[in-house]
Amino acid sequence: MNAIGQLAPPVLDVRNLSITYGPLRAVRGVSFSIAPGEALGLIGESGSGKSSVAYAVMRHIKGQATGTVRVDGQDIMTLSEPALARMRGRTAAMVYQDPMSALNPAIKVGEQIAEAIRLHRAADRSTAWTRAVALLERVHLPHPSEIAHRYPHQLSGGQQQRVVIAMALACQPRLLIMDEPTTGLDVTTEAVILELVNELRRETGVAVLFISHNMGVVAQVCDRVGVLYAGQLIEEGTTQQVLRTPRHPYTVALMRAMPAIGGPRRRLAAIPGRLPDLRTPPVGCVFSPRCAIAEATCHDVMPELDAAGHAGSTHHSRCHFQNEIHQRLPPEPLMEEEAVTTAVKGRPRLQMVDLCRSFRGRSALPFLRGPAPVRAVDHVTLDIPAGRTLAVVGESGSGKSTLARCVAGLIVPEAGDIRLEEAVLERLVQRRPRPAQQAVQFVFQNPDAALNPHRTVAEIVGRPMQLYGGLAGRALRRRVIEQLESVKLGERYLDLYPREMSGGEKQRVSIARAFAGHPRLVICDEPTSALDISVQAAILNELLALQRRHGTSYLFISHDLGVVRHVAHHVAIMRQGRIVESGSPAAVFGAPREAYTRALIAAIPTLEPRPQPVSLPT
Amino acid sequence: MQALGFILRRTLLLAVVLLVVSLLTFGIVNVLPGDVATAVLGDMATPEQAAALRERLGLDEPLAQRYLAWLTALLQGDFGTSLQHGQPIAPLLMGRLGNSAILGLLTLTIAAPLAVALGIVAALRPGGLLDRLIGAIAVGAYALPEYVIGLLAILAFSIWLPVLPGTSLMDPNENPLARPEALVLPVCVLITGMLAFISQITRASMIQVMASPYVRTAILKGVPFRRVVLKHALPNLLPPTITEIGMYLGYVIGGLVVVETLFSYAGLGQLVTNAVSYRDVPVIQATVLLVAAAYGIGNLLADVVALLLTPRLRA
Amino acid sequence: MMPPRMPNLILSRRVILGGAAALTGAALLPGRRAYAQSGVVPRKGGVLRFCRPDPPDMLDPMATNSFSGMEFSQMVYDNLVMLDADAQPLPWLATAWEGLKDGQEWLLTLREGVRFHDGQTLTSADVAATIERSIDKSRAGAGFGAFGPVQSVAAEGPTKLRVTMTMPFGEFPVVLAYRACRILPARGIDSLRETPNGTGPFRFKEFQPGSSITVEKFDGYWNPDVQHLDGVRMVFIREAVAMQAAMRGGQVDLITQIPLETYLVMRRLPGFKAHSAPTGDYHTIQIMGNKEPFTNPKVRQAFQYIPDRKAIVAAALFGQGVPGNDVTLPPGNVYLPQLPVIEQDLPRARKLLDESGVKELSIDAYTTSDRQPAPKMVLAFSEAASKIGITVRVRDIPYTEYAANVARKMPMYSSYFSGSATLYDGVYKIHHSKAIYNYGNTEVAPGLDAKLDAMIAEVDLAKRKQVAGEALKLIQAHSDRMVPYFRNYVGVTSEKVQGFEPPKYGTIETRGIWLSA
Repeated sequence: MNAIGQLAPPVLDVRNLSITYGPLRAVRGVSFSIAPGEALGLIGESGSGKSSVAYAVMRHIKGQATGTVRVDGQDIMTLSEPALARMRGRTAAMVYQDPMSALNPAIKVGEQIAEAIRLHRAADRSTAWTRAVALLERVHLPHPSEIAHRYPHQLSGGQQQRVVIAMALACQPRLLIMDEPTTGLDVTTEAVILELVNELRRETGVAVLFISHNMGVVAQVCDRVGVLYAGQLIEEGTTQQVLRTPRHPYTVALMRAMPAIGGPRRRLAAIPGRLPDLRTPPVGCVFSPRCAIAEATCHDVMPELDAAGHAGSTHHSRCHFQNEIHQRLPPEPLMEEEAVTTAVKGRPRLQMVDLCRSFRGRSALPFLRGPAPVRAVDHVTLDIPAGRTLAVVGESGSGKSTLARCVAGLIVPEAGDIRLEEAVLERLVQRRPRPAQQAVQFVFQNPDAALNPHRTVAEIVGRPMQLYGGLAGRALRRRVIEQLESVKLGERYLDLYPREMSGGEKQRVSIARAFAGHPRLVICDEPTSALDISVQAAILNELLALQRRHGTSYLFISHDLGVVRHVAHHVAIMRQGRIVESGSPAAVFGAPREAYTRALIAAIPTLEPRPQPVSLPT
Repeated sequence: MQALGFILRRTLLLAVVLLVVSLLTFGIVNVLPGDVATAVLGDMATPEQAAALRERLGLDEPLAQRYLAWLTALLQGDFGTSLQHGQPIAPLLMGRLGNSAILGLLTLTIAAPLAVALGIVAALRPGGLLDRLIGAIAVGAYALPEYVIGLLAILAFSIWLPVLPGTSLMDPNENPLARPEALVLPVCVLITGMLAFISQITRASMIQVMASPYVRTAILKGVPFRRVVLKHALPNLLPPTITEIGMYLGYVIGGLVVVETLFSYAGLGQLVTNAVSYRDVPVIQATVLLVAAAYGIGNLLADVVALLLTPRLRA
Repeated sequence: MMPPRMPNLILSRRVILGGAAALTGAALLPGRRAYAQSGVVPRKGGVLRFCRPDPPDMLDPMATNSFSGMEFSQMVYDNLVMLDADAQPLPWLATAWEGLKDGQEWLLTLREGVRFHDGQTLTSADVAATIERSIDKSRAGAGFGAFGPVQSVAAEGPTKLRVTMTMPFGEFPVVLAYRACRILPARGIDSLRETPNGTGPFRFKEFQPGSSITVEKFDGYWNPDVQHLDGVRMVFIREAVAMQAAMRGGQVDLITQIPLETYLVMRRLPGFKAHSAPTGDYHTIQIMGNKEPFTNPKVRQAFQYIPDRKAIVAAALFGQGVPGNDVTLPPGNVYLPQLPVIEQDLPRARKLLDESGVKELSIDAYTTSDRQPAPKMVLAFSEAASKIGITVRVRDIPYTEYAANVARKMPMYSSYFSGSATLYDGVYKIHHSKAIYNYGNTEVAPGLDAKLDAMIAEVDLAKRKQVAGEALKLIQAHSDRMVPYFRNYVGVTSEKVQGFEPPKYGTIETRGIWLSA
């Protein structure tokens, strides 16, 4: 802890917090505290219990909580409802993921801020409104007095989040709880929001509890970091300590699973296995079933959250081998860079020639006029060599998914051709002959929507084999099992339904299905963005392995430059329907020509705190 | 501006819909079932009598020709002449339209706010005693047709416990508001059906709204619960509920036909029941068209109100 | 069994009746003698609120096809004659009648000083126009042929007219009382649907389709002695429960055409007068002589022995009716001869079937719930038939479909007839092979048509009775319809309603009704 923490009483003091949802033990014995002006990041993947902890601080959870939570000295577990209402928004305020849904669509944003002021400060209407406008200015919204009169839907995602932050700051709270505040925002927007948070911290001295799954984001904001796994705090320390020299195998694995934008390309390390069943958590170390260095004691004895290195250290880890981690877990090998020039010969596998597509916005009520048409794909010409990956990168609304859907034949382009080797593809997939359908397959972002919930895995994966390969009976079953094994799923998955599998497993099934008909091109539309980092690493590894084995070409759509750098042979940066820059990853990321590309790269939150604000070219 | 264009386009659509409705009513009434002349005359009629009536009604002319003639007259404000009485139809409709409107609007103005309130109350504690009570009553009321509810109401309040008139015996030129006691039972019967439906729809939306992130935002901002419900949830609940009420207008109109007939209330419903039983084809066509227009306009109004209450759509 | 006071000859009757015309109208009204004799003076004034289920199909008294319309025309129009308890004519707008050329021609004498509501005086031209309209198929509507087989009509001076028949027709004076034989004004005779205009005790005031009809007292009525009310307001309540509620709530004074259940409930309540009285209305199960298997008379005969008529009266009519004997005249009718009583006899039915050569019999019987309690009757028949191995499938269909596809077209179905005072309507029109209600257009027994022709030609009552008796025996033995029961009229009035007589022939007579204070 820093010096201030020692002197002043903590703004937030959580002791032995446990949360259960029925039989599910979501959070177990979590303790931490935040000193005035300090920012603590809680990192964790889905199921870690990080959001439960955040909402427990506001006493807004459906489950049962035990332990003590003191906010500014008050034990909020024992507060009466009116006292709780007085505390909420005044002493502690919250910033949420997805600001669009966190703001009331029927109320002007100025009023949403002013309401909090009137409630807690007993201010009159005009005073509160003036203050609300001032707050909007404080979060650097242009024309604040005009924005105050707008409704949330009239603002962009970044502006909405600034409004939410302004609302949180309305009563000068001592503690700001931020629950994944930048998840779902574009990377450039994320950078500005993080910059804003840092600025506000500097100037108002508010303490921050920052919840995120993204270590880069946390590194930009927090003084200290805690890592949650399966409801337990497994490591805690200063940001530098935890992210530079992690002392827990889980933290190490997370770091190694994260595709980085800079530095040498290493193989991504996936974490095997899945989260333990929280109804019956393991008796020993909670990570031991997935841990590469676990020994017998790990399975039997739960380690304490002890100081690492030397006694009294601020770095704590819940591992029996916390001081031998780096010896026991050697770094992953480097990947060899393929020579782009030698690999590409002959006709490209896929050519997109001058594709165009625009959209009329859909109206909200029948016969209500929709918004003006948007050019989603604007004269795009790209090609993909055999066995190579073309990554199309862009922020939301750049048209990258529309492009992918045009190639797949799910959306009909208004102009332009799509050629698969020699043949020009029909624009609509239903019109394409069967071999052409078989040759182009699709892996979607959300496997839940892509897999029929009423079919077993065997049926899902077997269907294209029946359709394109004419397989049946025993032969079919054998091929399905082979196919499942190629994505690291075994025979035991054959009779499962999608709902019985985790997100990563479902995405593996979609990949198995995509490869079942020996496709020449697989379109991957954000295949890992709904997955946790550890699972993402595994899926990316499978995709790379399958490509090497079958010589398949990928059209890879992503917003994540790290992921793209890891998988792509060729990168195209897309913005407002146009390709602004393309080339090899080394060229694009190493020496970007376009200002937009440079801004995009600069905006990526790395483990290093950013020295100066990011500016986006307009 | 946007709303204006919307109203304009929806009005055009309504005109098209009414044209289709006119075509359908004309077709159905004239084609099915059996033949108009035998239906008008009954089973005692001789074939000669039926033939004579067919000739008088011009039923031997081609259907398309008859339709065009009818439509042309209609566009000039001539609804035709009643087969039954030989009187022009337009004045026949007007007084009754007013009476039906009074019944319908009274029902809406009482039932809509009440149903929404009940739905909200039920939704605040889903599964609670009040919710289960409201739910059980709603399911019961919804399962029973208006006709049965009406009969039960007459039995209960006019026969067993004679406190209210079981029949309004209203004339078209009478002002129903002058005899409020005669309106009580018909309005209550209509309200019952509507309460059941709208309260459950409201409940479902309210549960959704209360679970939404922006309600969570309000709670965690320290907004007291009552204010959360009234200021944060309600404005988002109302537009979809109003649209639902607009859709429900069709049921209200259907209920009007039943209730007016049951309580001898001189509205369009009674007129159309009478016209149907005597196969007064021009009256049926005119009334159906009028009712379709009323439904269309009501629906449009509901959508416009919903539009004006939704900032996102108003733009 | 002829009442001794009945004169044998119309001619002599005319003399008697001519004198009777001088008597007061109240005394003339059949069935109202009791009041006249009791010395109670009817109170004048008040509006009778008259409630029935269905509004009239139209207001034209001749073309209307509904009882509702006829009940209206009864108030606004007059007939030439009224009927006495034995369904024999009494003078009304006509003061005398004389049959000439064996009933081939009739000479009518009209009452003087009768006015229509529009102020015109009734003359023979009006009566002639009425009768002429009734024989014009395109203008008569449901009243076509209501005056009997009329050939032509000619006025002979302002108060006399001569009617020539197409055949000898002895019942002409009785027919004149028929509800479709209201006397209409010659002027505007074809627009009475829009502007009703009669000589009756009440003048038309207002009609709200589906809701109400209002009539008010006609001050120039020729017989003020039977005109007590200030007006009548007819209202329509379709649902029996609502009707009962209106009666109990004092919103109406009289409810008619009510279901038996309402009568049975109201009968027990104080403050109301419940009326149940025999009528000539009956249901039939048609067994069409022109359709298989009923072309075989033995099969028809066998069917007659299947239904248990007393049980049907008890179950379907709750006792409010009398068993039928497969003739269309109710027990007690003046023309009924001594007939064997047909009762359920299943062995005999089986035996007749065996004799007919029909082995297996399976047939659809059509009925409609819109004509209660016909389905109960058909169902009872079906159950009885099954006991002797006959399958009768009951098909209950909506009335519109019934009217369009069943009546006259199917071999077996239920039908409904209202009672009539004349042999012409009650027997001839139903059984003569050329008559409109002989749905099969078959002569069910050899020589029946000739007998029926003779029957209606007969001017002399006694002789007519004898021929009618013979015809009815033939009909009963060979009938192509079963008449399981005659229904009672049931209705309820408030205690204030005085002088109400349960109607024998369908429509309620408002002449003579008054309201006590």
